[in-house]
Amino acid sequence: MQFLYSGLTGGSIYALVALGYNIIYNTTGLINFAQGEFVMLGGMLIYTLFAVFGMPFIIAFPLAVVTALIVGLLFERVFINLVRVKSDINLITVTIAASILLRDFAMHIWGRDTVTVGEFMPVKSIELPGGVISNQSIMVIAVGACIAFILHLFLKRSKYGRAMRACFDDMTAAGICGINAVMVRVMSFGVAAAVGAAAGVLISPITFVTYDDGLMIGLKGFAAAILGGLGSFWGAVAGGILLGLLESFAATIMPSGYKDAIAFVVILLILFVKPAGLFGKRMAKRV
Amino acid sequence: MLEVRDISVRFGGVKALTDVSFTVKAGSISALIGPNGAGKTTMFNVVTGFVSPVAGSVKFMDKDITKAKPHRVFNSGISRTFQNLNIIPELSLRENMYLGIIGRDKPSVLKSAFRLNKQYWKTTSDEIDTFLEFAGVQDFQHHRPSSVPYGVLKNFEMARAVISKPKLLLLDEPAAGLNMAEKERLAGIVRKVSADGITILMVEHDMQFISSLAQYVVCLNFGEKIACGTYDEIRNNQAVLKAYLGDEDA
Amino acid sequence: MRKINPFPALIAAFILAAVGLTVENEYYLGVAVIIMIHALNATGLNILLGYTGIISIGQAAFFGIGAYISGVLSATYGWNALLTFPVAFMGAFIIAYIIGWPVLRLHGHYLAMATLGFGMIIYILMNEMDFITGGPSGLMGIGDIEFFGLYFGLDQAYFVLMSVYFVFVLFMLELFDKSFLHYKLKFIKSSESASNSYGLDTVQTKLLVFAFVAGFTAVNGSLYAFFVHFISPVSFSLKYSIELVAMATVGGLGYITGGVIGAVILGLVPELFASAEDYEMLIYGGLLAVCVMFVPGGIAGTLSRLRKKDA
Repeated sequence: MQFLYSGLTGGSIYALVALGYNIIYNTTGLINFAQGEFVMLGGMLIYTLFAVFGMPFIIAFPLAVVTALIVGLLFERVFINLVRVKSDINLITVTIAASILLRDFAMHIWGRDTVTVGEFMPVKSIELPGGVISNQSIMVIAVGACIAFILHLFLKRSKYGRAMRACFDDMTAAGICGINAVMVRVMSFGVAAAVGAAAGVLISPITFVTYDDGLMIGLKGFAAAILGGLGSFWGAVAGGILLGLLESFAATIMPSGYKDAIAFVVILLILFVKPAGLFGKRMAKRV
Repeated sequence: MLEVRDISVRFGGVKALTDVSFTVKAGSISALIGPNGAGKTTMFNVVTGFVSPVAGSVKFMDKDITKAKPHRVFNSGISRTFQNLNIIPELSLRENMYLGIIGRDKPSVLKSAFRLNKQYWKTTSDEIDTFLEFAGVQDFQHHRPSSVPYGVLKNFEMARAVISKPKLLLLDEPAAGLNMAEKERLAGIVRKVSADGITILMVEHDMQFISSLAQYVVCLNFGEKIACGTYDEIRNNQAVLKAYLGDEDA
Repeated sequence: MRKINPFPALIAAFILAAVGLTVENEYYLGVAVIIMIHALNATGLNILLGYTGIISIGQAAFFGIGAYISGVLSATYGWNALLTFPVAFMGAFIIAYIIGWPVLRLHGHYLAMATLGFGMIIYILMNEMDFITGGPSGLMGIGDIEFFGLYFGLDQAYFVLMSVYFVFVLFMLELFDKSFLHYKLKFIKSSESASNSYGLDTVQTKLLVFAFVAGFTAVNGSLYAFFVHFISPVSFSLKYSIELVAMATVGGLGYITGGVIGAVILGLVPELFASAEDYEMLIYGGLLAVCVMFVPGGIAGTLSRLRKKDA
């Protein structure tokens, strides 16, 4: 049972990262290879605000998320917007380049060493049937669920959310209906960065933060997104939790070094067998 | 020459084509018409192997090509043009002609890389000259497609399709986006191609363009065949008029 | 059939000869060998990315497969170095063929992620299968290349061997570039459906190109292993795959000299700014971003445009 609890914790984080991919994918059809860097950024920001400046967590958390949101907006303006020929290859390469730059800036600002954020609250272990879970993990799961729910409301109800979904259906039509497609694209990068950073904040006391964390967590988030079906909101949540569980289960039956390979095996298997993911819709191919 | 029998295609739950049958006679010019969304391009994609039908069969020169992959369909003697042209932007028009040649001859990689078949490439170069001239686009041969008028690209595409020496040529909306003069030029090229003994089947909206060319017309609507016959028969067919003009004044 | 332009290979031969005759410092000769290896890898990637349109962010894996096949056969089993090259080539070729069968049906972002995932799995296997690879601490005791009584253990000798091979490959690449394959691959890159309906078996062609480049990259890996005599997984991580993407893109995708130009420029960066080692990735990322955003065709593309304007 223990693997269930740790799997849920990791899974909530993957789900949030996967949601970040989906927000951008749904509005632009693009996979942002720098998504993981936003998670790292969230961790680093909370480290600066909470651990270094000593702000109360309740202020530091939103502040970190808003800062990441602004970075996300700038990210779109600088990198995506300026690509002259917006071909797949170019957009992929530019997000890779951007992730290198973000990682390197982080290294120069926060150094090469792992930073310790410290606990947001006194750690307690809670006895559950078949294992223990810390209140930290419970917070990760609970806050993660809250964020997912707020995001869901945002996309379903708010003006921006609906505009985002309209853009994915048909960019031109959305433009004709008076939706500012560029604005929506910028916003989606902002929101995706904010969600990623929130994940980074939540996980930081458990895993600590290093400047090059973004890569791995980003790839795992992508595995989660693709497992659930790229573009599907609840698919991302389910995919994240499923991946978390798979990983912690795998850790109980094989050497821990292989744990990280699970995500990539999942990516490959899903892409081979069912590219639309477990819950995604199949899209028609145009000749 | 081409026999389409009871073809049905589904996209998810949507019926794109239902039990469509028609034949194309060797040496003829035939046209597939119908309002938007009638399934004309889907029919093309079935014949060329890009879409597999849930039922029915396609026979070409008595060979079943229903399940054949696109490149096999080409090998059996069917070339096609595309609505969106598919001319490679980073190569000149002349270089784009090689697409028709490479698929047709499948030249040897090693011999070509080590230049052991110079004679062959010399012949193909002459051939390209002939066909560029045939379509009247030789003046633009060293231009890239982005700096060439649309009408010329349409003519060029004919040259590229014909150099692949097909027995049957499928044209996907050849006249779309052309002005009167350009349409007439293209019609002239189509006639020349037909005169060379190549059978032609086209998807087309422009009734005038069809009237001057097509001997046989098949009309689709909502994925079903509603009429077929000569151009004059089709023009006066009630079902066709209804499909094009709508119900209210029928 | 286009005319062969022998100048890139001749210029490379001239520069290498000049370097060989004037530079005595083993360290700099070593740098030259490594840059040549980068250049070949980047050129291989360029053929995938710039010609055929196959986005592969897992090339480091094939480089590593070659290095480890040669390394293990030489260090553990005492094979003659030369015999390991065909094994490395075939090994990578077969792995790429098997992996490419499902992967190459994907396009764009999916293909990028799939190749990246493959690269990561190989990287993790190199680390974890320590009973074969020596794990994170690496594999030592890799022998030297020796044939017909010639011995290539010294850096000077290796530089000569590598230079000869390099110029030879450049010449082969020029033949490839000026043959119809150039067109064939670019047709496939530009539109698979158009290529298909003109009788090109795109699936098979892409598979062969992918597998062949994998084999070629593996051979470079073997050359690397016999040069440095010590390999560890770090050299074959995702970072190297991305560096190759940067080299090919900055140099010029779709131009046969692109990979070499990119590798020379980006390969010299850490050497010229040895003090600024911290900024190496910053320069990589910055150049890559700038090239993608503002310089389509990279350096080789810009040069070719300038030349056409003059003419």
